[in-house]
Amino acid sequence: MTRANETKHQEIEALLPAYVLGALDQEESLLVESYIQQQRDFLAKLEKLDHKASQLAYVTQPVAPPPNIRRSVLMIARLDAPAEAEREISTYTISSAIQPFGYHGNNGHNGGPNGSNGHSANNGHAAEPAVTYAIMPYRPQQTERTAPKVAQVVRQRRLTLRLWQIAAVTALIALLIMAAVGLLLNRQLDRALEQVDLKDGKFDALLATNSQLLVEKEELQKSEQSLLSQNQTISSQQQQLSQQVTQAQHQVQVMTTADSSYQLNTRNGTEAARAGVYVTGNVAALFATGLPLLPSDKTFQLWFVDNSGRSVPVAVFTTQLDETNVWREFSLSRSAGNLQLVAISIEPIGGSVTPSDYILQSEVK
Amino acid sequence: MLTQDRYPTDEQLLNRIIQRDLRSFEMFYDKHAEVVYGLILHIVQDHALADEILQETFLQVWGQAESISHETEVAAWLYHVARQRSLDALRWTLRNSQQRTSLQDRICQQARSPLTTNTPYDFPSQLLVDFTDKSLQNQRQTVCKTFQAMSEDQRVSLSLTYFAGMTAQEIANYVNLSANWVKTLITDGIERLNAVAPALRQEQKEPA
Repeated sequence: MTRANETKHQEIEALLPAYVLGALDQEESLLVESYIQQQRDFLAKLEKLDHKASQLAYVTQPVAPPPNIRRSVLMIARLDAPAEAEREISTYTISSAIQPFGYHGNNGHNGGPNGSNGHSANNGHAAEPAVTYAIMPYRPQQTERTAPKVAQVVRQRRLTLRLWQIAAVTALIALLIMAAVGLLLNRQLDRALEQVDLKDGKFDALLATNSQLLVEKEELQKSEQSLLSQNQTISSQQQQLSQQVTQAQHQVQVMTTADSSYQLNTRNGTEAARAGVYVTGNVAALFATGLPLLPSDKTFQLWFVDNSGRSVPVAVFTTQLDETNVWREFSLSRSAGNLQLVAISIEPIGGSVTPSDYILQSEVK
Repeated sequence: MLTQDRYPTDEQLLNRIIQRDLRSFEMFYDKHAEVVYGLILHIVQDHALADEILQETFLQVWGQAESISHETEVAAWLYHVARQRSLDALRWTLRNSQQRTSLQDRICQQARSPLTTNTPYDFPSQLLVDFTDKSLQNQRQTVCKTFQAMSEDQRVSLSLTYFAGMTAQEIANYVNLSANWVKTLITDGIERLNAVAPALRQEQKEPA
């Protein structure tokens, strides 16, 4: 080793303690790291220096961590034990230890224990054979802190387990809600069925009432028709009565205003039949009662007998079975003049030229 | 409860951890958790964050036990990982320069204050191993006495670089010293710690 090299060697060696603690700036760190590539005996020195520096941890007061941390660490380790194959085995090598570091906010290259796969960008010695060096100087990490892989696996398992638990609880809650909704719907259905039954009963009652009302309606319609017919009958009777009254008034007027009137009785005056003849101008009115029933081949005939004793046929007429009072008006071809008597005889159908026998006659004037 | 003379060494525990022995991992945790948690808490000053980092650190031991070199001191590796994780977390939590200055002030103040090395520390009784008055406790007291015997500038320089991740130049600017002098203080401090550090395994195998 030349004197210059020996001086440089001593200078670099003097920087090693500060390098181990991460107290050198970027330029000095790169200088040390490039020199370590050439002087492998420095690796053992770095190891010793780091061991010495770690004694500073004893300067702090020991503090008992919370018991739950102990339980948590052991539980995670226990959970991880079966997954041994998943463990990531890595060693820190000189090639990663001396890579150019991202130093206090620089380009973000990392060389800490968590990032052991860095590549040398400056010295081109990344392909050097790995020389185990377990401890590296502190270099600030520029990336987000990440949980250890073990913890990540365990957290993932916990997350999966929690998701299953959430799914199971959700399914259970859904089942309970469905059961509750089912019960509620069942109760509402029962109530609805009860209401339907109640309404069915009411409907049946209404149907019965409706049938009864229909029957009553038919009866009322019949009564109405009966009343209407009665009304018509009464009206017709009233009309008949009115006609009868009119006729009676007409008869009274004819009787009271006649130019001459003749009262006809049976010859012996014992028979119930009677009649009156009222002559006004060329009209002769006959009012008879108690006339006998005639055979079908006979008819009544009215006769005027003038003062010369000659019988003049005036008219023939028949009567109905229920006709007790007979009113007839006859038109005369000429004025009757003074008459000896007026008589009614029974003649064959069509009348006779000469009277056969008088059943009613007035007094001779 | 195991006693110290029957208690396996870190290397023995690590070999069993590599074979996925949960009992050994539990013993390893019980042995180192308090010191590691104290270191993490000293740096991040946040219990929730310290809990997370402690958990991640020991799970890294469990997950990457095989990656630890046979020549590497297990405890040194463990403290190294815990310190790196803590400083990374701290760097992400310090959002502005005011917070960073506050951290530096705190580290500096603690470095200047006398250490409470004689404070008895009661390990939890539920642990598998009785650590009271054992090598770990003795080692800590020895280191603390050595650290306390250093000058104030040296303690501040070592603390700011180890607990706050500051470079020599940053420390020099902060405490108004030259950067070379800070490097010298750091180098000398490491050498003084070397005097009280237990021998490395390769040194035990091949004494100088």
